[in-house]
Amino acid sequence: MQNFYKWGFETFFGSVFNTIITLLSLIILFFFINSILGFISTSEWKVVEVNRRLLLIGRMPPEHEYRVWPILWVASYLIMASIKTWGSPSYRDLLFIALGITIVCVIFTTSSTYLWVLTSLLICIFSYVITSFIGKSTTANNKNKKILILLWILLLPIIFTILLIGDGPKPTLWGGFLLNIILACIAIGFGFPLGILFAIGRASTLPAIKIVCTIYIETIRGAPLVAWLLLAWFVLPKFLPQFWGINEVSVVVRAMIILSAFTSAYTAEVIRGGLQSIPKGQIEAADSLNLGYANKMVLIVLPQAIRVVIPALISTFIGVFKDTSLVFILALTDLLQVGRIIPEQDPEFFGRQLEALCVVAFLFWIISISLSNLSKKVEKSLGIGIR
Amino acid sequence: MNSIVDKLYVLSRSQKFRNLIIQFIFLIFVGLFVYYLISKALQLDITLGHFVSRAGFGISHTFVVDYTSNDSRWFAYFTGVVNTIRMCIVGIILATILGTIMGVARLSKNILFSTISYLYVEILRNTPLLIQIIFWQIVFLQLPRISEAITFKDTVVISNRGILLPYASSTENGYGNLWIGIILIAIIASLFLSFYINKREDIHGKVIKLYNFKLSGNIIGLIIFFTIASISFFILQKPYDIDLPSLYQNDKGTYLQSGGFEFTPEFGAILFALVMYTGTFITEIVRGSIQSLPKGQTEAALAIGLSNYQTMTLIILPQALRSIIPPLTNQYLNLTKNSSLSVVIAYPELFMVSRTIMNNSGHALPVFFLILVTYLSLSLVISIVMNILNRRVTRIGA
Amino acid sequence: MKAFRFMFILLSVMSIGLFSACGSDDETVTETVTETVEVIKEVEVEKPSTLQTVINRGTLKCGVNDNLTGFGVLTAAGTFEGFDVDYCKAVAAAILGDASKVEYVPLTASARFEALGAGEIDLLIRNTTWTASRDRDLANDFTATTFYDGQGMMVYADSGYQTIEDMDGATVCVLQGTTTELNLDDRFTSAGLNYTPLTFETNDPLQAAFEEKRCDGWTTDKSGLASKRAEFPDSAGGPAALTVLAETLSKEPLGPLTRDNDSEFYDVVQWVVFGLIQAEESGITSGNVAAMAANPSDPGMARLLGVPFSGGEVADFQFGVDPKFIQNAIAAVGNYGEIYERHLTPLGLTRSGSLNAQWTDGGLIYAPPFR
Repeated sequence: MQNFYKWGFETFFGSVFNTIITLLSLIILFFFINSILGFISTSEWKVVEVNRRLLLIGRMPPEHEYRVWPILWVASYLIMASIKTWGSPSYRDLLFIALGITIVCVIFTTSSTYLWVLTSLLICIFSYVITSFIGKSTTANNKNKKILILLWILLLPIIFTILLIGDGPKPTLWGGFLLNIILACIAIGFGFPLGILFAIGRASTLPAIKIVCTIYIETIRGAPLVAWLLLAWFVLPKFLPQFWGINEVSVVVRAMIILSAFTSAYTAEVIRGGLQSIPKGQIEAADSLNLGYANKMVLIVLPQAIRVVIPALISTFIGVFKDTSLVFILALTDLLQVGRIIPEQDPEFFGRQLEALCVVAFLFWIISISLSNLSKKVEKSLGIGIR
Repeated sequence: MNSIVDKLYVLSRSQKFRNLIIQFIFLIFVGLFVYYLISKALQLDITLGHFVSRAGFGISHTFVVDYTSNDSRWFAYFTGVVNTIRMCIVGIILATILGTIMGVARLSKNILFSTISYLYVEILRNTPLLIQIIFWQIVFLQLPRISEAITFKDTVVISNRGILLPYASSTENGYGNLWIGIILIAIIASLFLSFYINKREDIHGKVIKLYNFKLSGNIIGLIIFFTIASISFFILQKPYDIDLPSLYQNDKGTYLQSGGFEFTPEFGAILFALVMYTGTFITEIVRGSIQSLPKGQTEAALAIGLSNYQTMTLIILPQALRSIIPPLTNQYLNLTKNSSLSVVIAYPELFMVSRTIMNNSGHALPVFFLILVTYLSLSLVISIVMNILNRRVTRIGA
Repeated sequence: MKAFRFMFILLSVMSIGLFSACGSDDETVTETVTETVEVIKEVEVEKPSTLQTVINRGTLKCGVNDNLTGFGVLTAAGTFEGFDVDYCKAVAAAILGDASKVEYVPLTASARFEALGAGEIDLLIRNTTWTASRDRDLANDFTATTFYDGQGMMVYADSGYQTIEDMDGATVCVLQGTTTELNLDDRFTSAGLNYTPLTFETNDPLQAAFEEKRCDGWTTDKSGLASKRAEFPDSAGGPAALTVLAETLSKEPLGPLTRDNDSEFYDVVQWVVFGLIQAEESGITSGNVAAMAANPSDPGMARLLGVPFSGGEVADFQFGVDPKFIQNAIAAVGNYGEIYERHLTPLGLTRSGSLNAQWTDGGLIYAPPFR
């Protein structure tokens, strides 16, 4: 006990500088806790309670609501299985995951949906348990990994099939949290390979390719995403060819195109940093083995480059996920837009924007923090950041 | 026949030749694509002619420029650009300072401090910026109302309409600009002088002494600068005067503020939101850079008796700078572009002004291209400046 | 064999390059390509009229507001509701026979005209004011006015302001991208008064600023001011703490818009609006429209509802839609009075004595004769 007090005194009040910092930190903490408590005591959550469905799936018509559940089941199975297969989570991690899922379920389950939610929870637990039974045998492990990777690649097509099959709701009706996640998945799914291509192009020795790639990356990065989205809505149709009705493609598809282009530019920059960090000896050795450009890139350079920049990449992806909230400018009702308009629904909700935005912020925060924790785990396992 | 084909075959094996062909094909496709775009673009109406007509709307923040609603739309747009630049410069400086402090704090031994830094990064980085802007606006609105404004003996006025600080205003005797010019020249001259004197001391060991008190180049430069500035100030008959803010009510009871430098809640809200948000990213960058340095550096520094502060500023940060600058440039560009979200809380920067113009005039396309060009130029300027810094910092060492 | 394969590829590549480089003087490859495509597609299709497009498509694309209480809001169930939204439903019922066949596009004030011009929507019913510049410059056409509004200024009762002239030097909160901004400027600068505008994008930050007395006045359409005043939180003083100045800064006639040069669709929309007004004047409601149609009391009502009068013919004015179109509209949403009652009366906007009363009650709601 004595040692603890001694340590405490040393750390917090050891020098004048330390003391000042400790006092400042305490003041800041006190101030924040005070205002949060004040907010909680004067808040009315009815505006969120009534609009839970709107927040999660936007304007999707009630008759098509059933489509959302299979998507949730597939996604939860995939995520839990992947966590177990590649994650080797400790009990603490599992506790946090369980806590997060419970909080979200408690906030968003209405009396009509609790059966569905219960099924999803059961599938989560079930998938986790099943995966842990695979055991130590390598062939079973590899098979499992292959199946999971295949499922991840097929996830987007599966989601689209479920949503569109049998005269499903038009994409402009998808909204809320669902829309943000779908847009983020597509933006990352298409933007990442494209970004790799542009990064390689920019690092190429052929001046023509290099200049064109550089112009593309710098142009896209130069303007804010809001401006590009507005451009996509009004300007893009005038530039698309008239035949096959391409120029009347839905706004959601146009948003996906622009978001993918934007992600590819940012990813290209990050990967370029990774490419620059590879020792020249690797490339020289590959050349001396006569590997050819394609093989050299795919087998030697890219795996190392991407490994090095995975934290920065995941940080970019988190940014893309949050930027999908900018599609409100295209008249799409995404999660943030819902949060901003629900206080106007009914005169009794006037002025309750803080509550609505709190919930929106919480949803964004949960996904972002999971991704950033993932990146930390990857960082640790790759051994980056140990001095 | 055979020999020609053989020659071609040999040629095809040559890397240079193949490169040329690949580039040729690539350029053809790109050229077709660009031509298609341009031919379509020429069919659209992209004139900015309507920009010369009267703007007809007011702008609440006019910094340096004197804008009234009778001016042309070009001037309105220019006011917006000035507002954006003003916010970006202040934001970049503050965000860097905050990010560096928090980045170092993250690695501090004071657990309270490093936890605050950790919480700061985790909470603010993962929340969308729009929500943070609205939150800060609400915070700033909690300042006292104008009828109960806090004043400190006529020098500072604090209310929820803004914080007014003393400022300098020109006394209209015509020498204002001349004095500014002299100041700029004095800055450059004293910088060169101090640089030269420092170099002379480093290389030749010659030191300037005044009564056994060593004067370094920095001090000499500062002295020279202040001397020139004050002498010219008085010679030119005090071209600038202190402008004290004042709060008063006109005869109808409206509270009016005048004078001084106004720090409005809108500017404050968007500034704080941007600084805090970008600061989280800079924190992570700084932390990553410091952690990537070999531990031996810190140990050696402590071993020769440098204090923690000296280790950080003299040894660690200068080396960390090498890997900080490229991602830092990225964050500065992000800050510049994120400033376009300020329409939410009535800060009239260029994106908001251009949307008002778009709506009033109805021609959206030319305004888009104008916005694109403006943001591209801003990004270019920042990139170039940071590139110069980057080259300076990475010029030594592997 | 390798050599021959390679030579073939090389020659084809070079020929493409030569072909593109030596295109004819005036034409380029792109134009040749597009011409070829057009030849394949035979004829450049004449843009069909909006009415035909809507009928072919089977849904009406309507631009609406998603955050103006009473005129257009997004409900918790994910549907749109409001005064303007009801007119979308009426037009859809009139043209397509089904009020639910509407695709709503929630637009911001800055994007609405561009969306209409670009064809993203067929009809814009988003509390848009009829002005000359919007009619000509922006290539829109305003159909009938559904709501006569005016711009007003709301101030705190204890500030002592009685007129706009009292507000020299004041700070005023206003929404971005609307005629409100421009009118505010006109009014103040022409009277030689100084003011500082605070332009917000949505109502919520604006209300927060106004509650904290960041601005002295709040200006928007008087209908909006009325509802905001009615719901002003008691913690900030409640409705009694606010007054709306008597002066109306500008006329704000709100109504549906179509594109220019689209008379067929324009006429249908305009006469649906008139039809609903006439229905109220004639006493037809959604409740009794079926009975009235089965047994019209005079030829005028018969023409309106598209039914024959005592054995005569059905009047068909060549609108291009089913002669019963107004009857369908009334059955779907009710007459003008019902729509108003449903959405605007709960906000405290009374009709009697305002401009929105029927012309028989001294207001401006007047429909030309249907004959």
